[in-house]
Amino acid sequence: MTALISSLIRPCLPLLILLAMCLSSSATAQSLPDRIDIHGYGFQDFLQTQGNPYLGGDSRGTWDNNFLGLVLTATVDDRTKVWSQLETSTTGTTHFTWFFVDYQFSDALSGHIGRVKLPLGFYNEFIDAKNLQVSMLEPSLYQDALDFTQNAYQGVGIEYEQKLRLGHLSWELYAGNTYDPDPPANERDRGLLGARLTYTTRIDGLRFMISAARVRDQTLSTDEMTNEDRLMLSGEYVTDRLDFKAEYGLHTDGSAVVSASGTPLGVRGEAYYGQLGYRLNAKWEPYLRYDYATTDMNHADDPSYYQETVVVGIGYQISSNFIVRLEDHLNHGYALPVASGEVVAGTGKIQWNLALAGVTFAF
Amino acid sequence: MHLLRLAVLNAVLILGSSAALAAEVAVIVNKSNANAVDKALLVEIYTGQAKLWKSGDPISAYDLPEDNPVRASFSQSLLGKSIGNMKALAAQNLFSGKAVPPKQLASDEEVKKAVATSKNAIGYIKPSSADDSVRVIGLQ
Repeated sequence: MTALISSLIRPCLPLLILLAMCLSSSATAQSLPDRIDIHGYGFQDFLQTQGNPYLGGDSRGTWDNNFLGLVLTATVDDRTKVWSQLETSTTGTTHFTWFFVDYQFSDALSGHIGRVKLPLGFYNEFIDAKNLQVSMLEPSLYQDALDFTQNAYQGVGIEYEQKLRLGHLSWELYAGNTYDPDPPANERDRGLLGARLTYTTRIDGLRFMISAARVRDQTLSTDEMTNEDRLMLSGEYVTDRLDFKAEYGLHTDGSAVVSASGTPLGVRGEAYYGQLGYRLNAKWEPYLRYDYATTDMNHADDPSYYQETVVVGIGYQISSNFIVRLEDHLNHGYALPVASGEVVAGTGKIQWNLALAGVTFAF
Repeated sequence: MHLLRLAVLNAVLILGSSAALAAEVAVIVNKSNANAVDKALLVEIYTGQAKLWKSGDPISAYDLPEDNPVRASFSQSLLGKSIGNMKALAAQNLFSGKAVPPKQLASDEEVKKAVATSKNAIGYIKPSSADDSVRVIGLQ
């Protein structure tokens, strides 16, 4: 019984601390309900593959792909907010994806400390909020199997907004350690440094982004220290009807591969996509995506290490908070099922299909 | 020449209809709020970029419900974006931990009351709903 109560209380401890901070704050005359905002989002989908198993799906299909996130924001005083997201998903674990304190030094400058979603590319910070994306399954660049992106970081970060004559720049800089709910057994993150620069142009809906992060990894068995680098270049043009996005990512990992003499060769993975969604009317939005990923550029011709995908899909907006989507992924190469451990390299089917039907919601 | 006249006429009609839409919205702030507000700042406030007034006080922004025609006018004519676009932007900010969306209130009366009782508040209502409990911003 004690263990059960402890397992329920532990994930909620940050929430309880947050509530205590709000209750004790005397800096604002607002009542508690005015100072707390609760929102959330989630999805449920059915996934079926023909040729290779992936994400738990095979020719029989699986419903085992779902997510619910609750975002709770508390205003502590005029310049301080506490943000948290509690999530539960297919993995069955319930945990805080992020939990941080945000302080507004001035209108242009803010800082945060705690566990923060890693600012990489357009989607990483809200990768599970499918209603904010054009498709149900995110581009390969963002899928867990590829390891191009990381969940969150624990540390400190600052953001600065700079107004220009031709738009504005958002500067972000952060340092700490990566937060990985399922870290590799033989590796320890000894430091992270990252940055993101976003240029929002004067043309409404047009913006560009460059994100980069370096992690200092320690291989525990050898005590070796190597660098793991991530770089993403992003561009989008979004209007009322059109949602066009293109991103390119590069990932180098010094620790993963060594030569016969023991020198790290450095695995270099690369991924990119171009995606277009077009809103026909208030309800229907068809979309198309071309996606390419390779988990190791040293073996770019091996279908175990590359995957080329064409995604065709359609979304139907039931209401402003509910969207239903149907999509098909035509794949050539099976790098992602190999990277996720569901297929052994060299044994997969080169041409294979993945179909998805899902519902996404937000409130 | 005919095409040029047509183009000019179209431009005038579009600008005219935008001005007409803008005339259906009154942007209001608290009477003791002396901060200058222009269209650019309005866009920054409602897209989550601006969080503090020049005075250093936090901005409390209010919205009307999505199906309210005043919200549609406000969004299109003053912010230059559809309600759908604004909602998506607000959700992105919220779910990435950047900004809380404006608080949505049910009616002009509720927005007026909230703005009248909070010195850092800003909202918008029908011009006919405005009275001397709030300050109406004149926007160019």
